[in-house]
Amino acid sequence: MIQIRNLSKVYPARSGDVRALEGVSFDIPQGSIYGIMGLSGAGKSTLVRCLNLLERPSGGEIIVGGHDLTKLSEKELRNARQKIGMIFQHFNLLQSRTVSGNIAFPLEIAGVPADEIRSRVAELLPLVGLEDKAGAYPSELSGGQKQRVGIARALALKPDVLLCDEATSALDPKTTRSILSLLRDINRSLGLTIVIITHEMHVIKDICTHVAVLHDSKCVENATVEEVFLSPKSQVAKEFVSGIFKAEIPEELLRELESHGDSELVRVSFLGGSASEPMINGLIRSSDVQVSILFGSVDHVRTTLFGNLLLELRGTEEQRKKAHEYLLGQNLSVERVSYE
Amino acid sequence: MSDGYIASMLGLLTPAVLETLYMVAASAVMSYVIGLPLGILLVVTSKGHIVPAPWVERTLGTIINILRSAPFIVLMVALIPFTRMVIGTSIGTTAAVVPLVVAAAPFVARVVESSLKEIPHGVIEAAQSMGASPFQIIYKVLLPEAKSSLILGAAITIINVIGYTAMAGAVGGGGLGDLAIQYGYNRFRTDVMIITVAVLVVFVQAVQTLGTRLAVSAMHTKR
Repeated sequence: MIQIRNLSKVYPARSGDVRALEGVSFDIPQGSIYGIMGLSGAGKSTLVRCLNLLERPSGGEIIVGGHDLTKLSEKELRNARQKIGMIFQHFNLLQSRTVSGNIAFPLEIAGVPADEIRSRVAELLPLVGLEDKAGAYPSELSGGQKQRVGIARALALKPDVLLCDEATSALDPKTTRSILSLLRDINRSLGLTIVIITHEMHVIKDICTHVAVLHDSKCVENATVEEVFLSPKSQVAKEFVSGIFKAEIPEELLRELESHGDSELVRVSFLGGSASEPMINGLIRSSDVQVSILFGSVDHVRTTLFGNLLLELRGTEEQRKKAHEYLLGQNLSVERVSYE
Repeated sequence: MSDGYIASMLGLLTPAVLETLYMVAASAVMSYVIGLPLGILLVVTSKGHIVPAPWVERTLGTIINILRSAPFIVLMVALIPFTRMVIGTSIGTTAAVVPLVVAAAPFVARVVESSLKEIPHGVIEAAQSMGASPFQIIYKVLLPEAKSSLILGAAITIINVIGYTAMAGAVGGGGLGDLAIQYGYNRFRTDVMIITVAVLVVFVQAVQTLGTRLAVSAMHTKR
């Protein structure tokens, strides 16, 4: 759907150029919900704004539906933008227009006849659950309702892609969940490709199918959400993932464990089906180690179960080696945790 | 008070009020015809806006600043040859409108500029993301969103122009200001002076009240 090729963006500044993006390349598949994650300043906002050329890239290509946006004329670009919806952190609604007027706005821009505009607005209001707010002005709406107007407005021209620039960052957790579930419904029912920029890990966990991790202006990792959660490769992704599963072991506990020379700590992660296997039972039977569970969490990444266990294995070196072999044989991801 | 006194006072006031209204209306309309597009141009050509062209903004800004720094009475006299060229004479009420417009149009441009700059950049960006052309952004986003602020700016402009018209007597423009000088000051008619000032106060109040009321009704925010 969208191919990003070697994208770079440099902001010239007197004190030396600022590189916001450097050689970023990845593909956003049709129908996916693609999360772009990174700490603030990593370049993610610049990246999403390059996808509809609100920000003109310094180099590279943005290919949407087969056309390289960077090579289009002003007029062609305006037409291409009508097929790329966008919603914003601060909603950016027109204060002087009602809810209906705001949703009608892109249709007016595109020159749609008035009666068609009316019927399209009438279709969109129930889709975002605002039937009773058609005549209200943005100042009379809550943040969540404003973002719903933003979504309806972005969908008015039946776009192929919806870009979300920190769309839930200004909302409370409950409203965030309702907006995310609305986005997921739209993704399913309309087959719309959605690109989400966020610094909130749970947004990625809750609805994204794929994720790209930006760090220091570069794309350090991109894969399906399950892959990144199970085996994050980059340091940033690891921090993000451990942040959300809170698998930090209290320092005191670590020090206490150090005194036992015959034990080791391992972190076992499992995805999906493995969660239902009697793994602990098998582990003890196959290797005769003593197992204590220090920490455990089972969460879900979208619909896939994702578990994370911190185990202390006590036994001879031979027994522990067997234990490792068993765990690896179960298709589990095993990582030895150092005492430091 | 005798009927004769009232009649003579009305005889003095009526033409002066009409001249003032004519000058204010004509110059306010003309200065918006010129100043509004200039104000829009100042905003849209500024850095980071929809058609950035910093040299346009700088050149225009400099010209506006020069025109605005000349005191109106000086500008009016200096423009006499120009006025004669435009309307054929440099004396009379219509002749006074020319320097009024030259003075008010740059003022309007700045007032419009500051109103349009209040619009959050995100709203403009949202319109761009939908594929709006610069022209569509101007008449569907900038002007409607700034409507209430533009109305307040118009009230300020009109009040300013009312002040300028007091000096129109210098080129034979007539009006309330001229009446106050000719009768109230030169002929020691304090009563004429007081009534003239009272009428001007009523004018200014009326314009400001109407402006504020229209601005509030155009505003859809709870601020």
